Amino acid sequence: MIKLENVSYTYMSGGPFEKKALDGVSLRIDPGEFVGIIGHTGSGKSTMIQLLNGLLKPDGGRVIIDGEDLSDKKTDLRGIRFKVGLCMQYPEYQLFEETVLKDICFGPLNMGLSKSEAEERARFAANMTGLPESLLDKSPFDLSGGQKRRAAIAGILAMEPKVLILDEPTAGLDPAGRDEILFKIRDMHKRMDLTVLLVSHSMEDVAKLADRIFVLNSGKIEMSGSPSEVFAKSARLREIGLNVPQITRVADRLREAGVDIPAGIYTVGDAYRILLPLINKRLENN
Amino acid sequence: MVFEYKDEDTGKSLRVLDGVSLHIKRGEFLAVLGRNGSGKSTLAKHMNAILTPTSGTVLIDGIDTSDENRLFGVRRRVGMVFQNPDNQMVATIVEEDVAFAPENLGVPRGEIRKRVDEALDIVGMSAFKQHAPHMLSGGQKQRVAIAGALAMRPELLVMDEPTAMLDPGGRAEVIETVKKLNREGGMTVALITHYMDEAVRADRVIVIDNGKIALEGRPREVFPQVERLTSLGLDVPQSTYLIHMLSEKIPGLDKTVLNDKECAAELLRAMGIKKEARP
Ligand SMILES: Nc1ncnc2c1ncn2[C@@H]1O[C@H](COP(=O)(O)OP(=O)(O)OP(=O)(O)O)[C@@H](O)[C@H]1O
Ligand SMILES: Nc1ncnc2c1ncn2[C@@H]1O[C@H](COP(=O)(O)OP(=O)(O)O)[C@@H](O)[C@H]1O
Ligand SMILES: [Mg+2]
Ligand SMILES: [Mg+2]
Repeated sequence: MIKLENVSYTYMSGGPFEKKALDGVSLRIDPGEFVGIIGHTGSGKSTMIQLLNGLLKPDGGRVIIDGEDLSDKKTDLRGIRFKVGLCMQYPEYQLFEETVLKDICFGPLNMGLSKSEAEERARFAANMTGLPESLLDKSPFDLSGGQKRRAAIAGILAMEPKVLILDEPTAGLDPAGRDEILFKIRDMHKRMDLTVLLVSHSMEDVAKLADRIFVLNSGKIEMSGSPSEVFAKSARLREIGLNVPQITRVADRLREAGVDIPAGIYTVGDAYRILLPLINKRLENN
Repeated sequence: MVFEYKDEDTGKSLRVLDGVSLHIKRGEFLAVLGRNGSGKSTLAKHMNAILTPTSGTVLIDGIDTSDENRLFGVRRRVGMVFQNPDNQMVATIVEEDVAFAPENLGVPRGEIRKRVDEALDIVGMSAFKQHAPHMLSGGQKQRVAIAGALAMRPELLVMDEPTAMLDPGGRAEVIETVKKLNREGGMTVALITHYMDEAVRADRVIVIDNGKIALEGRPREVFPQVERLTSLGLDVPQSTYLIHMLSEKIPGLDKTVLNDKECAAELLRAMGIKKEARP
């Protein structure tokens, strides 16, 4: 279980550029949950998730993973980092090995796996992210933007963490690749009871995947709830630099025009199921 | 044109652009789509002579990009914003970063001041003028990079996934800005993107696949081809997709809708409801 208790974080505390990135954030995420995190750029999303695997230390409040306080000197942070896999924003910067395969093996080797075990996991993870075999011997620097992104995600997956945190993982991926990776992650989440925290600027992706959404605004939690609860508040979301999925906007427009369609529609499938009978009924009546 | 990356060690070459012919008209807003690794960035790098073709020619305003004596003429006309904003940050203060390109072009000081302020204002980053770029979040950096290109007042603005890291508000702002620069300022724009709702705003869309132009046309011609786009690794806006699905059961729907406003209007028409749509 993941718990934040009244957590605050300030960059360059005391200096002229002091910046309070998180301000009294409390939340709780249960094992096996799929959580979406949205918020305007600079709202504190990346700061929050770096606190979750001990990369940053809170300057107020507590971060607790499976009962262990990360600020406690006795806590084994190395162990926490194997348990909580964090795929950072712009993960392609972290590619540095000679070949893509070696890069993906880095994490598993670090965990103490043998070379052959690490490679087996790496090939599996590469396949999960849709990286073709033929690229594994290439230098990571010669990959296209989206291919680098896939390699970086594969590196985290190969560590088989219990909690997977992805910071805007699909920026730069083509639509097919984006769906492929996200649906595979959802599949792993279901089959292996993986806890997933997905930070994303794609309202459509978060709507499709998350059971629960946290909305950050200027370092504070603005709201949280199920996708239909959160995306019912479109005016407020727009005020804080976000939006609702395009399909929700279609439904909102229809409702305004007097069509009897419920609030909180957030996937194309939902819209289809509700609209098809409505339109057919109208056509019969006319 | 054809382009091949050469591996220095093995001498092997990889053909990445394979017989591309493309004419971007002055004042046009072109969107370039295609799956990862299809060759979009490679094509973009030919537009300001970072790369030159292995065979064939690239002409910018009539200037051959392979003519090294005229490199400056090419670079002066083409502003670039790349996929990766950190590689573009050169200075330690935001406004100096934005001033970097016009300084290199020899723009007079007073004029630079004006352009920098204006560019930062357009991308909504004026409040961060004095900040260090490394302190900005991903999306904030991207806006500064766009301001840097705008400060050059280029004739052609080439943007390689400029909104990939922006929040929905920031993305909308940047695309509106680009639309305005294009429509009112007459700036020619080539936008590479994986967001279909951005591509629908362009005058023309091309899809690159495996180094070739696989599909080309106005957004209203391209996006109704849902299956074709899916097979090219792309998708369509949710509005277009909803109508596409409903069309299988309901005849006579207009499949060329591209956004939420058009989609709602079309559904209301199908239901026989007359209502003026809000903007
Ligand atoms: N410097 C390089 N050396 C060798 N091969 C390269 C180099 N840069 C790119 N490639 C290869 O060229 C092909 C096209 O790459 P390019 O970066 O143009 O793709 P892209 O369409 O921009 O992809 P993305 O959507 O992922 O950004 C890919 O197969 C890639 O692996
Ligand atoms: N290394 C850093 N030094 C100083 N300020 C930072 C640093 N990283 C982020 N910030 C600031 O903290 C705030 C939150 O940033 P971040 O957590 O990256 O937001 P998000 O991920 O939601 O875009 C922003 O105002 C940003 O400018
Ligand atoms: Mg971030
Ligand atoms: Mg690219």
